[in-house]
Amino acid sequence: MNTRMRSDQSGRVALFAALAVLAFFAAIPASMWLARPPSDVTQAERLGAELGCTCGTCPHRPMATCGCGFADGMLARLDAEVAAGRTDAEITAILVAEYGNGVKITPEGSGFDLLAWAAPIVLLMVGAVAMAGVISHWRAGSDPAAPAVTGKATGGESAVSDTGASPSRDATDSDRYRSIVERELDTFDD
Amino acid sequence: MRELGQICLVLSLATAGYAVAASLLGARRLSAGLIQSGRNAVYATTALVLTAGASLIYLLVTDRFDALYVVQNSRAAMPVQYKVSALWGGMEGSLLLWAMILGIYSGVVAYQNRRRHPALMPYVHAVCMVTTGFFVSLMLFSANPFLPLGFTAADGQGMNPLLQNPAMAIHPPNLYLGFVGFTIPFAFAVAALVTGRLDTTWLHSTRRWTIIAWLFLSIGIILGAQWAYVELGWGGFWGWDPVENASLMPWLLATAYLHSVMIEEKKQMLRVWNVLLIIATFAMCIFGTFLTRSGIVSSVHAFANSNLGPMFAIFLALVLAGSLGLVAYRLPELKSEGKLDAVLSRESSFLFNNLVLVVACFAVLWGTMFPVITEAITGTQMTVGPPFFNRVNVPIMLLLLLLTGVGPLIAWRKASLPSLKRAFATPTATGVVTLGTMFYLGVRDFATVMAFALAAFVTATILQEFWRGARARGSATGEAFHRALVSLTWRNKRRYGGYIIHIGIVCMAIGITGSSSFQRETQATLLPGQTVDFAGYRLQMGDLELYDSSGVQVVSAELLVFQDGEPKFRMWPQRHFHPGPEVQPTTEVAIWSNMRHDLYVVLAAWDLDRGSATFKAYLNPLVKWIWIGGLVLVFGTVICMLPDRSAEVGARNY
Repeated sequence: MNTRMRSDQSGRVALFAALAVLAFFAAIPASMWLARPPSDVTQAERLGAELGCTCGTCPHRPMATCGCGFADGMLARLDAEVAAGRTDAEITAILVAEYGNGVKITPEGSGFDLLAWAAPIVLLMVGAVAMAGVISHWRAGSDPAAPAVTGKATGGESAVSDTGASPSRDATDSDRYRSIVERELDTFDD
Repeated sequence: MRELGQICLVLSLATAGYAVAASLLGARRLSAGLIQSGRNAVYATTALVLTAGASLIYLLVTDRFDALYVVQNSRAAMPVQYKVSALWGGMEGSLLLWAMILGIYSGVVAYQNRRRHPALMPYVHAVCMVTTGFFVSLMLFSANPFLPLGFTAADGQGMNPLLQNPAMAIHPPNLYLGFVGFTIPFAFAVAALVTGRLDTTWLHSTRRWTIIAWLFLSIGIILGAQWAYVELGWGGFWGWDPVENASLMPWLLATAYLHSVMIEEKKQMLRVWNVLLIIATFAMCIFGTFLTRSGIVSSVHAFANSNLGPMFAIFLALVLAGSLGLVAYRLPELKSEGKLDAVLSRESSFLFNNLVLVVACFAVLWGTMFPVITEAITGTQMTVGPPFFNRVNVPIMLLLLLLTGVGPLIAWRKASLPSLKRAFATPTATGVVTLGTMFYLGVRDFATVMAFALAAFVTATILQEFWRGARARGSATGEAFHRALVSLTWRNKRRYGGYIIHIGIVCMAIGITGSSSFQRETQATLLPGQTVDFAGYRLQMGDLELYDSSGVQVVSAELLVFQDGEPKFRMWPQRHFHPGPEVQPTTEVAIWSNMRHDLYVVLAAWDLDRGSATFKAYLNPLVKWIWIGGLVLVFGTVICMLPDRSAEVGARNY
């Protein structure tokens, strides 16, 4: 009876953990999509934050935050093009033609630039798979009869310290220690 | 004095070379005499590079304008503190500072361990001295700070005016103390790999060194942000400039290392990973130094293009090839028998934390280098700026914030559902209430809402940990709650110091989110007496003045600031014109700061004839929380570094 309850509980914890891990890794691409500029900003504000100032003293700063006189001129030009009713792509092309390619400070979502966006996500996914492999390898290597962690707790950090159980002790002792540790783990939150 | 500096550099290269040879030979022949001789050579190298540094400081302070470096980086009228800081204002001097700090670290480590770790120390000395020798070689063969001018100039060109700022005077030394500090754990890791002594001895020996380096790097990054905020005049503190990124990358890796090393200490797992992390951290420090001196990326911070790039690249390649070769050689011995009792455990959460920190580092590195990669492959020049870094890193940082809260709530080894429910209930409720409050207040931006909700969640987890710990201790010992809280922290400095660091991170997250999400700005041109209303303040223009201050031409506009119809304070945004070969104006921002927000005013333009001035005013919410968070982080780190009695006893047993 006890064993069955324990098995049910382990299954629920594993399910919870799997869902948490799934949500965790789905969160990054989802957040990157959600982190795009909000829709209530004006076209001029959005482009001002996405296109760079080419004054030369702040080569990577958006023109809206550069604060130099040169950026003011670029922003005035941007406002004029927005007022003329042009699209984002048209305005970007006009500003690139006038101020150079340095205006574009955000990689595009296509062609070679796509690599800029994809690489961190790919690494995360590859890392996640590798980590899952490592965890599963560790889980396979763990001895269910082991009383507790065998590592020495430093600085009194862990609630689970060496139980002192030695291999020579019999199975009854091992079970007893294990049940004590399990009970402690349930009541202590280190 | 210039000659003395030059001689010291030459001699230090010789003593560093001797230290390497004697230490390695002594270790190979098990000769105590040679090892002792190598150690003495380390002390000699330390003394020599420090003397060289003192010589350059003397030249700068005494205005010796027959030395090229002094002419290029100092000026007679400069305040003495900036003459001293001119030591790291130019490339040659900054390399000397690197060598000086490494000299000090090497000397202290050699002395501290003179009777400990006899097998490891010769290799530690060798690695430290190879690195010192590399930097001394750079100076002697390419960027010598002691070159003569050939004649005595009447005055110098002065230091870059942007660098004449108190934060900038102490920011680079802190950054270098951090960068260079990671040489010590790296050296111990290499020594462990060479000797095959791969137990946790090297970790215990370097724990405090790693935390010291991490602390200084943190301080350096925070001071750099503060400098950018008060000096660059664009209303922000972090622009994702390549040089800023260069300091962030090793910090992220070192943070991962500081967490994962706990798993190795407790369970002897992740040994390969930890060695790789410390190698990567050190390599990233060298890479950052290379980035600022190679000219491969454009940056407002970078030193002028130089021929140092290839030398750094070769050194970096040797570091990586050598250390990774050693890891490959020792791989069978490094492989640990990993055991994990449950997927849901502190160990797993630390693995997540490591993965996310490494991905964050990669994302920053990738964005920084992407223009170089693009140009090499497609031939197209392009720039990667803040929009990319923000969109990629904000989600990653939110996940890190989540893990900061989750980690302490999950038990080592195995977590059970009842304990998880108990641990998560209050923090989750706090986070959800904050989320609802943000929504109720009309905040809809996903990242902003999540950042505040997670900040509340993490704060609740930490307070809960302190509360439960102090209450348990109080009931066990009969101590009052406040005494139990102090003794709890004192008895487990590493754990509770770590929690305090997390509180500092939360404060910074609140400040960063508040200032970037809710910033407001306006621009107005005013004549004396005219006013503009902005964010609950009324700014009234006063006098516009032009005056001379120690050779610097100052344009200053006075603003009288009203709140609720009452005059509250005055502000003087300014522009400074520093003398030099090119007259370089700098922005001197006026900032009125409280816990809720900063009123940040920049003098954008002016007309002295009409007496009018154009102001850019920003309202930056919660910025002060960033600086307070920095102080809390420093406080927590210092607590972590304080010795534990058990650690002292343990150390004696090594």
